Amino acid sequence: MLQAIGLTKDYGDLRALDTLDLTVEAGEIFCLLGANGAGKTTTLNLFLNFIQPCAGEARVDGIEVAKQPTDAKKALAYLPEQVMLYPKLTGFENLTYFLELSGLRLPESERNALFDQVGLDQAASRRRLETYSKGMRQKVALAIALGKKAKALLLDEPTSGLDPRASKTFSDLMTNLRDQGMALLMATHDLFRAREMSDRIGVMRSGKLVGCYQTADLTTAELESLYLQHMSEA
Amino acid sequence: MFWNLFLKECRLQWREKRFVWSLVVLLLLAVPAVAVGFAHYRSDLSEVEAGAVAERERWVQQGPKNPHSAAHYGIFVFRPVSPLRVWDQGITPFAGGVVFTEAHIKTDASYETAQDQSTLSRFGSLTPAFVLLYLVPLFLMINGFALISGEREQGTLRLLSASAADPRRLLAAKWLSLFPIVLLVGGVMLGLGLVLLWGRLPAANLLTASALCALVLLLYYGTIANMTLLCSAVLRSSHQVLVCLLLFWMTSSLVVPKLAASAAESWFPTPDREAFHGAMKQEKKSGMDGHDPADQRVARIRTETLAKYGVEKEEDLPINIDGLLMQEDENYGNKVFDRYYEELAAVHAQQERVFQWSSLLSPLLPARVLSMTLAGADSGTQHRFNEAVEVFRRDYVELLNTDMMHESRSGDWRYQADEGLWSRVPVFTFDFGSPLSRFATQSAALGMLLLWFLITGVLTAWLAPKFLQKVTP
Repeated sequence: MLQAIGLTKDYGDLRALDTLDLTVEAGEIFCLLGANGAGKTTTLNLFLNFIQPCAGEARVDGIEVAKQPTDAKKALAYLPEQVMLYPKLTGFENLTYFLELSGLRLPESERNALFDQVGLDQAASRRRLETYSKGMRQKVALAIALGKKAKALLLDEPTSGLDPRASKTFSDLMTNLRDQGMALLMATHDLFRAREMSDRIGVMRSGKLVGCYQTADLTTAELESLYLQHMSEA
Repeated sequence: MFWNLFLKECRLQWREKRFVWSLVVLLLLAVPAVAVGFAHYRSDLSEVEAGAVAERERWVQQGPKNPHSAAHYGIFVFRPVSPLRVWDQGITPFAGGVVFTEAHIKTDASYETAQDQSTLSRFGSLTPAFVLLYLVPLFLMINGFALISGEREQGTLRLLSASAADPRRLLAAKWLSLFPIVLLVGGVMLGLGLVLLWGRLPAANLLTASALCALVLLLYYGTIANMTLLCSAVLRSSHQVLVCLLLFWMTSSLVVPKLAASAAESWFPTPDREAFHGAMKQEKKSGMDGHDPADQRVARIRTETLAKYGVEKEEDLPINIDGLLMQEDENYGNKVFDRYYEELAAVHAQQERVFQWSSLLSPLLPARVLSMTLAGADSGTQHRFNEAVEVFRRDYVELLNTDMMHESRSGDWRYQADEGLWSRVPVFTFDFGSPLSRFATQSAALGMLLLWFLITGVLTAWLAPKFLQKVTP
């Protein structure tokens, strides 16, 4: 579903991403781990066409992002670290608006059902977003992703700033989306959550994917050890 | 679908306190502006009507008098008040509304109302045109400056960009969302104006003027909306956008009009009034370009008239030669006036051209010209009024001279005409023309405004979507 082929990005003399080859299948959660500046967010930005690659290709559902950005984005949903929706609109109005932008007009009952799916009660969905916590805003963004019937979800540090309970709820939602056949690519520092929810983990350092592991083969302690080992090689 | 995008933009603006305050402030200014404009109109109208009636009575009741004395007794002509002046006073406070007409002299309009106003009035009066042309655009900019830059700062632009939205539709929704405030304020003012002026001028003229006024305002506001969105898309921060737009407003509304006026006057100076009239008087006396001075003209006419009637002495003429001489003097003077006023009109035309080219720097200038023209308060209408007054003056002076020529004998200065003659002088009337015919005279201004709208529109449609998709990593 998500495919990076020799994906490279330079900022002047700095190589932010170095010939990344990566595939995330439908129904899979892939976590990118790495220190700040390792190239995780750059990878997401390239899939979102926020920046242009210097070499290589990013593909979504077989569509090359740089060449057909609008078509590629139709299959994508995005959850940034800080979910920035419209604070003066209610959760329901935000959902309606973003679905309209994607060319979707769902009946009110279906929109309510989307909030049920992400665990946001209807009364809360009618409040303005300025009263929401980060976890609630994430739920609205996830409802948008669900409503859009996105095939892939890109997440950038989604669990930072969430309390443990909200973080657990979030993990459950992600695994639920995976089970529905969505491909999830998540950039994170959170080793524990990455181990808990992902199917595969990639470790990035200085723009390179230096390790790729099946999560089922690792305990959290082993993952931490591997991660620190990669970081110390820098 | 598009309707919902538009509704979201409106909903967001409505929930911003800035929009509500803008609307309240504008309505608080708009309603009194129309009311004050109407009160001024009624007061001016009653003054002009009362003045015209009193003046007619003074003229007709002046008693028996030699016609030439009556020609110097003169008639005050009052500039009629167009009901559309409720909308825009234009140049009328500075152009003068009363002309004293008499034999031998072409006088300019005087008694400018601006002379009686305080220093504060130099900063502009609260008229509907002031609210619509100066204040509404300012509020439009204040409401719209963050439409795109705000999205960038809030981070919502990332989600918009990631959502595969068509940037042109987004842009169009944002553009249209700037107009509800305009339609509300403009609609209230136009509606109020229509109610107050209904029956005071032909309905067709009132409706045409309103429609043309709406067209001008939509083109002008469209230009401002284009500028607002363009700046909001291109500049990085909302702070920069606001500063840039305010600078544009100040330049366009305050600096360029003043500079254009100064440049026009400096490059094509209007002759000094005393010198101008002195030169005409001198030329009339010494003859045009020094040929055919007055004394020679008089001598020649005397000789020619005696020859024409086959008599040797003026006393034997069947007409009063003094009446003829005075009319001939009028005719000669009129030629001098025409020549001088043609030269003056050429200077004014050059000044107008400076204003027209200055419109390239300010969309307000053409909008202002069109607004004044629709209200019948522009320099063109003032010029037509001055010409109508001159025609009136020449006609009645000729009537008096002709009467003296045929009803008395040469040398008989005791001849007196009475009310019968005075009543034959028609009452002065002036037709402002239809709003459409006045509007048609300002095709250059309309072209300039259209040019502003199209250029800013093309730039916005071309550049803004690119910036709308440009997300800072």
